[in-house]
Amino acid sequence: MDLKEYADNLGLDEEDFKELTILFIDTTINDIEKLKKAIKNQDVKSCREASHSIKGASGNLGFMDIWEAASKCEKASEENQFEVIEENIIIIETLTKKLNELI
Amino acid sequence: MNGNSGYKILAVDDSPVNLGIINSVLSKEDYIVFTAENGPKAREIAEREVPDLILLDIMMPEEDGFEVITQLKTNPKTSGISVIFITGVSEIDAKVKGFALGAVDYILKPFHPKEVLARVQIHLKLSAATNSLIKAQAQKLKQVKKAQKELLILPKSLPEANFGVSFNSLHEAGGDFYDVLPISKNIFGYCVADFSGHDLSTSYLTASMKALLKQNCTHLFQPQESIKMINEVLVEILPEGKYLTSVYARLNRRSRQLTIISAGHPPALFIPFNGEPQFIKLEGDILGMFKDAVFGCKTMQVNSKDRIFLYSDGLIEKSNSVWTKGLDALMHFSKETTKHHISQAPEIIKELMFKDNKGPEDDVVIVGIEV
Repeated sequence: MDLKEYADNLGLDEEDFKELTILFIDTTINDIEKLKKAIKNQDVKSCREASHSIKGASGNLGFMDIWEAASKCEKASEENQFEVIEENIIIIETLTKKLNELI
Repeated sequence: MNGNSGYKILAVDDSPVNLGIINSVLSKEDYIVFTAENGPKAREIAEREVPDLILLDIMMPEEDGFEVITQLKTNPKTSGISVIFITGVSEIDAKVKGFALGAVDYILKPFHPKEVLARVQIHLKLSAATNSLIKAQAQKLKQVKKAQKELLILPKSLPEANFGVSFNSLHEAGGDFYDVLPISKNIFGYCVADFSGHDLSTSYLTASMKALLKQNCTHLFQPQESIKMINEVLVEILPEGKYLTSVYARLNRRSRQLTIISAGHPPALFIPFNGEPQFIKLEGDILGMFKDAVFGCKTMQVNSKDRIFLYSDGLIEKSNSVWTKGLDALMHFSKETTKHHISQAPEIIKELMFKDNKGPEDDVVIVGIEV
């Protein structure tokens, strides 16, 4: 799917959507860093907050594969499953890079 | 801030992306959009701009959406603003809590921008309709050239409400008023009010208040909403500087839930069947003076045979007791009436309160309610 299709699905202008996607990529990179740091510190609360942030933003922009991975991170945070979070961080990073290529 | 149409919307979310989406979709429709990434900033903007609607995220670090709405609703400047929660939290408890705190609706994440727009539009319409209803009610009351005295309801005409009353109106322009409203099969509203000022005739005020209670104290509205709407109409129709104090009790006889709203009125007296009597002291603004008034509110569980007494200040100010002892005397004498039927209790209380002199020198109304 290209950016125009995503934008059309949400009823937004392509230019607006592009700006929002750039903002999403920036904040997600930031959230991924927070997640990695939180895993290192075994900080469940921060893991949950960063996962929740990625989940909310990706879902609202229609990036459902990222939303799914972030949802798994959030659930895993509640269950202290740090290895599951690590697996899904890789997925989110890969998908975010692909998004960056679309812009 | 974008746009230049009349309606202002404040979006509150710790995610800049979500704020960007909301801003984008609402700005396109010419709404004036403000955004805040945390609670304190949201409250600051709400107080300064008084938006028509607030879209509020629940899960935010430090100050969450529940805390934000609680503070907004206790601030007279922001208490009237409609709030829609917008959140990923889908648990029923969170939804119920949000509504209890005064939210008008919920949008679940992930949301579609068109859904946000649709809900914003419908709530602005509802808000406009409510405002126009208030104006229409005020207009109707203004057109009344000569108010007619309304019959005050008596216990025998509404036995299901299980109440008693003592009412002494000594002056033609006396200001005391009471009413009892059957809201539904098991829910009743009880009101005592005390008018100040003499620009409008008592009968006019009484008729106005009675009509307003009937129009607004319905099953659809929470007691606080009812009193707030009544206040907005009274602000429109009362001459400047004139006001009234009031206490309103809504009793659900089935769930045994009692809600008391106080608008600058002496405290209601609660006498549990098994327990110590207590005054329900609530802070609250008076009615008819400020558009954004805030009223004291307490909701409590009550039990069968518990009693509640609502009364006007003439009872505690003009009795043989000195004013400061009026409340103590009322509590003392009210306890003595528990052996009497509720329909007789208010009259006995009045007699006991004034037994050492010729009787009240001012209007006195006492309404006793038994659960």
